[in-house]
Amino acid sequence: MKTIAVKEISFEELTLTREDVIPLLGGESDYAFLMHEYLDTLFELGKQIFQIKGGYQVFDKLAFNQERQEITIGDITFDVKKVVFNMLRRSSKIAVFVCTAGDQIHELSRQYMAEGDMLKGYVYDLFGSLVVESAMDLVQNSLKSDLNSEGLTLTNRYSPGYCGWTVDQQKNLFALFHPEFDFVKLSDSCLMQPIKSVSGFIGIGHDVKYNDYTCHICDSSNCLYKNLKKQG
Amino acid sequence: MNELLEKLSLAVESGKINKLSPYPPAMRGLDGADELCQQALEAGIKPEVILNDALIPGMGRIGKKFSDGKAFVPEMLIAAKAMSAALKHIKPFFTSGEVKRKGVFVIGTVMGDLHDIGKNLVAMMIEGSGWEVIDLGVDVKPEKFLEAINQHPDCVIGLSALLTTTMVNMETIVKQIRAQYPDHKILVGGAPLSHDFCKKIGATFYSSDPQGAVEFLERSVA
Repeated sequence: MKTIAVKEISFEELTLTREDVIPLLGGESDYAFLMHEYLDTLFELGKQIFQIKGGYQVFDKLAFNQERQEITIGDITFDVKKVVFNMLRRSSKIAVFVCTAGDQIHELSRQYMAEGDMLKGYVYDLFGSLVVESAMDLVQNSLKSDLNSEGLTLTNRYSPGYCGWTVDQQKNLFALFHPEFDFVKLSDSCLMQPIKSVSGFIGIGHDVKYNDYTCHICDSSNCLYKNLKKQG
Repeated sequence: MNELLEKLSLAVESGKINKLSPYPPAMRGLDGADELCQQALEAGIKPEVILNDALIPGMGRIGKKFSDGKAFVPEMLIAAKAMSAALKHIKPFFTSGEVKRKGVFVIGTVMGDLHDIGKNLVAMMIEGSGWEVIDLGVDVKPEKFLEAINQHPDCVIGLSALLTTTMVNMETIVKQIRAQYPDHKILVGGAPLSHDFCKKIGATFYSSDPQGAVEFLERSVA
């Protein structure tokens, strides 16, 4: 198993389809044709707009403190809170990941909003979020393939800001990374740059599991999928 | 209600911007908010009546649907665009003083935070409810809010944040405003916030959605 993997991903490699996007924009509603027009452009220009890069670093020096719901990786301790702790506590290794869709999609989104086209800006912003998640799926699948031969399985991805794990823990997370991961930076307020980036932990082990549905364990109010559930 | 105003209100709610706009399909070829507002003025309906009886209720209905989880963000944005198309006919009356704005609302995403979709949505809804909106942008420091209050002493301040790490900056901003303006109205919003947090930092009101912000402002001028 590679302990560090970083790769550039082309837009064409992503499995993201318009069927993944449309439900988050209201489904095949009266105004869906407008959304399809924007998506036509985005899928066509994707190759030029996105600079996708992602990777993971695997750590095996772990300690779990059940009482404090803390995970220590090397000499850095994470206060991950109950939900994330329980999902990761059987891990024998943890892959710390980061992935970005690049700056351009955010810049385009803001440009359209500044020009008064809020709708286009919003669709571009949402698309950027889905691209980075889709890219991270590829990174995770690559890790999964790498581990199959060893009989190891993966958990879901868990990120600071979700499931009770606070965003300020990003500082500890980024402190773990090898310099090769400097394609995503962290601001003093723990905002990732480029904005369309994701980071977090994936548990690895013989006794960990992947759940197809995890919304019920997360209290985030800032999640597209949760809002979709609310509206569905 | 006047039939023209009813049509205008529905055009705003449905996001029918103008005659040429293809959305919604059921209203294809019909006049949109742009033409209907012009017609209402030409029919002698007072701009204030157009604003209060057609435009604001139209935006209010779509805002309520969004709050209830019955509308997605794009529907709100399309409606806001229709509202803007109508408002451009009303704006000269704001300038001349014939129609009075309900007040000035100054909004910004707090320092350290660059997220602005929620802020922009709130700004659009509030502008559509008859307020003058001054958008200070993102990563806004306390001094900018204080400067805005100096310029618009009766304004209501709106603070937005998306991260738990930046919502704490709201407390700094609220404290600095309170030090100079102890009773100033400050509205806060953003995904990680709550009523308890609002109370803790000494803000006036927390809203979890744009319509709640509009309703708070309505009450504040009542």
